[in-house]
Amino acid sequence: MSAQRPGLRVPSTFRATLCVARKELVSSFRDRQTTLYAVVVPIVLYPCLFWMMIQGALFLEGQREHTAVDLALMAETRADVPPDLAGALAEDSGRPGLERVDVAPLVRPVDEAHARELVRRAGEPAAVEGSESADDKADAVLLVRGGGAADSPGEGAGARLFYDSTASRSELARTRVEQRLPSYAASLREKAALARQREPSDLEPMRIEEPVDVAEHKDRGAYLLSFLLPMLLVVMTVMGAFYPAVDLTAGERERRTEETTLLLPVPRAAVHQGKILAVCATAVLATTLNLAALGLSAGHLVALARLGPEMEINLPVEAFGAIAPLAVLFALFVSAVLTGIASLARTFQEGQALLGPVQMLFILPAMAGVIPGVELTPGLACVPVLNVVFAFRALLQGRVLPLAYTITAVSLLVCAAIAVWLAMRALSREPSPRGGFVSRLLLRRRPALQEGA
Amino acid sequence: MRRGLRRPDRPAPAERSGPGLSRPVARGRLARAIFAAQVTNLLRDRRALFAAFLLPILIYPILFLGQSMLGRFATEALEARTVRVAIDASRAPEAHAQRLRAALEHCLPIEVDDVDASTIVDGWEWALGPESNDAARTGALAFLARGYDAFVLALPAERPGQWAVLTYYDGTQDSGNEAQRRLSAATLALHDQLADEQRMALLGYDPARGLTLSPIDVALPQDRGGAQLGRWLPLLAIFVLLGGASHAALSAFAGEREAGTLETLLVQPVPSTAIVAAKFAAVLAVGVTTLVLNAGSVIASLAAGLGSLPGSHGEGFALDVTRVLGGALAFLPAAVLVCALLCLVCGRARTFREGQNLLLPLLLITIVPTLPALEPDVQLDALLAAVPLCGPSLVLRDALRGSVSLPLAAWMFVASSGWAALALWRLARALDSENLLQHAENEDELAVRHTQSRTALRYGFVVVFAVYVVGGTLQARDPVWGLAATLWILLPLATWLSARGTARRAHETWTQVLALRVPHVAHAAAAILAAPAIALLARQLFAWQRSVLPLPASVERVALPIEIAGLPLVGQVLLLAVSPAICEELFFRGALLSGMRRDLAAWRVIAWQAFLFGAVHASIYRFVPTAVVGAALAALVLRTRSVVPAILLHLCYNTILVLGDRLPWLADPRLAWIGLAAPLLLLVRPRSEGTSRTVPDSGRPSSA
Amino acid sequence: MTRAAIEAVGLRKSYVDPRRGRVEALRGLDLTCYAGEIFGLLGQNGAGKTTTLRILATILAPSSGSARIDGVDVAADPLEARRRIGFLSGTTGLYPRLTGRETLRYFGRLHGLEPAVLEARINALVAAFDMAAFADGRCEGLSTGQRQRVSIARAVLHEPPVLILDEPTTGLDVLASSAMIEFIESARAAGTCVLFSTHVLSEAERLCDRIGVLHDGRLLAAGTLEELLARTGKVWLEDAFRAIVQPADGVAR
Repeated sequence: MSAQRPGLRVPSTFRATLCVARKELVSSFRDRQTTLYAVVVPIVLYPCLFWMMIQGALFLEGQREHTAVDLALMAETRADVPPDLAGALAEDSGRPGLERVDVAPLVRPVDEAHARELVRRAGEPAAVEGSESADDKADAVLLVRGGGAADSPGEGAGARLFYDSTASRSELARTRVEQRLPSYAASLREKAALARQREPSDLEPMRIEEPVDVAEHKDRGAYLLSFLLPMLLVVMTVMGAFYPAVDLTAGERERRTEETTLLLPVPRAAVHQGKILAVCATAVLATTLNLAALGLSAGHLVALARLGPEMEINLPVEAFGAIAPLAVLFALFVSAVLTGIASLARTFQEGQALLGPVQMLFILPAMAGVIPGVELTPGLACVPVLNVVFAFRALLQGRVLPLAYTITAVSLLVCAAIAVWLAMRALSREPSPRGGFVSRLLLRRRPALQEGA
Repeated sequence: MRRGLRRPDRPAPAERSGPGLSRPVARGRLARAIFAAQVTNLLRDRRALFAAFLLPILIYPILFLGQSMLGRFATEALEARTVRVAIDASRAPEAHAQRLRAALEHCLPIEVDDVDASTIVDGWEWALGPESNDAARTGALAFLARGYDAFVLALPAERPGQWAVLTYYDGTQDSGNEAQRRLSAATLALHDQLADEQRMALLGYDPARGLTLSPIDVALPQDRGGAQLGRWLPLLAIFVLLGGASHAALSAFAGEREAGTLETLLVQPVPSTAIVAAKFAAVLAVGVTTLVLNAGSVIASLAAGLGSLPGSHGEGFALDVTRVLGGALAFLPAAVLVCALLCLVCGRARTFREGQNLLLPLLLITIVPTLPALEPDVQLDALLAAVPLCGPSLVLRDALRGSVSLPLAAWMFVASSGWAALALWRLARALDSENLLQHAENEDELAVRHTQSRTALRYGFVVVFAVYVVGGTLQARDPVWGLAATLWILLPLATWLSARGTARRAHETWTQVLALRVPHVAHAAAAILAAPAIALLARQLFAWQRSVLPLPASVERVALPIEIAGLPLVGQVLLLAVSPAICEELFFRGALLSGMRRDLAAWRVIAWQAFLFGAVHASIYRFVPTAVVGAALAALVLRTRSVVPAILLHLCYNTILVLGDRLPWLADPRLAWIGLAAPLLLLVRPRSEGTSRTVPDSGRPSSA
Repeated sequence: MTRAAIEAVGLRKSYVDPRRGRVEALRGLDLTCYAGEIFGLLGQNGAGKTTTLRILATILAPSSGSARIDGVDVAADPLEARRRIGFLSGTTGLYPRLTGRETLRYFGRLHGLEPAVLEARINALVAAFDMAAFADGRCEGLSTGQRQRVSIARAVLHEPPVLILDEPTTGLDVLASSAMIEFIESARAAGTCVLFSTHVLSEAERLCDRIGVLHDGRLLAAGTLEELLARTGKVWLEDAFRAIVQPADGVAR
């Protein structure tokens, strides 16, 4: 009778689905937490994160520059030590006062065990500051053999640097020595050449120029992003779908609106599809915002960190556009899986506990996105999660793989379809008739303590 | 209550003391009973058990194994790749060209093709030099477009007898990078070999033969293992503590409140401190157990050689047990602190979900102080040792690598225990029964009462963020106009929006909200006289700060962008002194302060002002000096009830900074003595609100 | 009064409970209600009242047997059946983050009401239930009584010929439950069939045209108050209820 009533037009399943999805979206974005995590956090997070990274890096740079390390020279005789080695090692020539190396007077005799002891003692904590004299410890020991005059024996000549890889000052000493020693060696050779009336360049028959990266600056930025964004795409899709998936299923039970929803005069399928769609929309929104925010702030970071014109990070709009269809399919797949599994839970809390391991199933494979050298082959394109990661990477690197792209799309479509079908089955599990409490709808064994006496 | 029915009540532990007891039961026994009930309840939650205990045992081996397999897979995939290299060595000496080709052919698997570069770009001679870079790039691109991963060119160098190797590759292709990596190694080896031969031929010996460096690491295996683990363990510990104990804390506080069982418990004859103590103990027990299991699983996986932690070099893993125990002891106060914070947060939540939503901020807050432990260059000192969570993390790291300083560790232990005790005290106070049950209502009421200050603080944070992002972007484009736009568009806009809301809520006019009143002459004079002293103070602070926070040379060099430094003096004063004085003061000391002072105590207003003003300058090096200035300005406005003295002080202060170099008398420390007059002048009572003359003003801050 | 609005024949419902094994919630229930009458379903907790009402409201599917709402089989065409019922129970919550008006609009749209008709209907309901003051506030901020009014409006929005109410007055204060009772009476006056469950006997006595006693999944007795009293020979409904239920227990155990 009602169907014939004037002013009544029964909505199609599709329209009903959209109507449900719209209501669920409105409802979830009125929740401050959802809005906060889906919209505000991505916008704020990355700039803050990068700010912290820059400030932290500056802080460390300042600390390192102003840390003076102790280096002990060890040699049998003074003649073994090339002239002015200590002076060459002491300071960075370009920046006086910074990155100092305090070179202690010569330590004799040459004894490896003693050298180790000196370094180890510097790494050990002093029981009371200043109780030990500075002489019997050094952040690193440079043991020089046979480096003196032209006629000294060449056998066994060389420099050994004793350092402690677990002590940061010792590591600093090593880096500084490793940086300064070669240029000092070069200057020694130059002098020797000049002494024999030779041009220093005669000693270098071959010169190696800095390898030239022919890629465009913006392509370099995109290459960098191509290791980061694909993983983020998966992580953000899963994270974006997580909260609404639980909210619309277990949360609905907890809020006691499940029965209300069951009474909707539309096919259950429409309700379930609407929910999955709403979850998917949230996931897509969160992902888009995150990727865009990261892409934009990465450029900001490069500008702020003054990395120079070597690299330019722009928002890779074209790659975003090309990946969008796959990303939406992937989001649908994820949303359906998460919603289906969350619907097995009775309470919000339980839903979250259930989804915790499930989200790892998506996120862990996505970590593979940081491996260089993996190409999106047709075979790999069949594997969900991995295919979207590597397809996105290929797109960011400016490669177009029509076959693999198509296979990826088909594979994701099939997965999404299966997941939606399974999720709908899970969602339409019949509520238990026992008792009046919707939270008991899905009966499972509950802890005896909670049942009460 | 329908809510309570959803989860049937647990047996209230206090009932176990039995009805026959007339004597009040000892608090400790009560707490133990509650503790036992809590733990039983948690242990019966199989899912929580799984997540807390079983999962870590399983997940770390799997994680490590997966990671090392992936890593191996990745290197193998790249190393097994055949790279194609085009080489044109026709211009190098024939013998050397042969050896270069031979060296390249050693980088297996590789395909080396001899090509003729001149066929690619007609009529153009390849040459060295910066001016030919673009052309060389074009030529190289042509080769790379033919499917080569890299193009190697040997050319005669400027000096007779010397030749140079140029490598071109595409850094955005995995195979290009791989080719470049292999070629670099091969050419470098050849270079050293040739140079050696040449030296022998020309000099007969190597003057620098004593300088061939071979580094020897004297660290023991357990040092290396400890250092590796020590970097990551604090971070892991925070994650695990929050993850493992959060479920316990949520169900002990928020969950029980939701289920209504908290009420049941609170009507039993038990002091609420006993309840809180028992719940906290349960949370701590769960957290520490989870932590021990997780750390144990990590250590066992590492010891079994299943994988390695990021940043290690794949050598064997060894660990000293006493160091682990010492580190664990040192970290205990941190665990107590984290669990207490967790209980505090969960105790505030009305529902389970609300509690969960508070966890992410808590995670972020607790993670940040543990991050320094990740960086081996950060050294433990007395200051860092006192920072909650940071100190324990650093001590744990140092203890594991066997280089902990005992006095600092002891100081850290005292300080951290103090922080933990403070948190526990707050917990005991915050969770008396009334708070436990009615906290929600109190919160709501507080929120309503503090609308003005909350809104103002929100504006403060938004502006700090906007100035950093928007202002930073603008200034990166054009320092002068970017700064001008930040000061004259962004800030006035925020001032307008914020002050409009405050005015509407408080039913006041614009001038009242922004405190745009003519100040007492004495106050204006005090502001101007105080400027040199404040400038001196800021300089001293900055100098002191440099001893703690050394300024890297790269920051020192770019103090002022060239574009601004190139402005005429008037321009500099306008841009760096007048504009900030007006725009920043109207926002921070006008609109923001006006909102805050309505429902916050004066010291809180000053503290917030200092924090926001320090934060808006977006640099850890400028934070302390600017925060002090911000606090002084806020105090000035609170005292004089007018924003004008603050504008004057800010103007004079900035002018001294700008002109200090050219007019040294401005920066003379002796000038600061006149600042002594300021406190005396400020003793003059401000005009009372009623008789005040407001500045004739249309009401728009931008026109001020 | 002669047209059957609700017809249930041989309803059975069983499900598997992990702890109790197979549970028979309904063991063959026959029930008929007519348009314009109020039928009260009495029973103890666990007697099967809620299960019955939920099956009729198409929330649960019967294990066997059939039920028709206004001539529509609930199992065969649940959608059409749902369009003919207004259902309300203590557990039919309101979406906390939607306003009252939005809730009504949402359901109206899904019921297929044309926008203009829907708005008019909503306005009429807002006026009828005196909701103007709070119809635009989110449901989470409403008082229990206000929520109840929104819920009722939601249930009758599509002018259903059958109203199914599961313990409609539970948890309401005196004023709210008397408003509820008034509403039920006014619905009967409009020719609606009202089926409701309760365990408040006085409510049943006052309201119901006919009363059914449900026990252990079976309808033990149905009839007017007078019929029930006459059948058991008691003066008070409470005694009659006990007289009907207790011998059955004796037989069952």
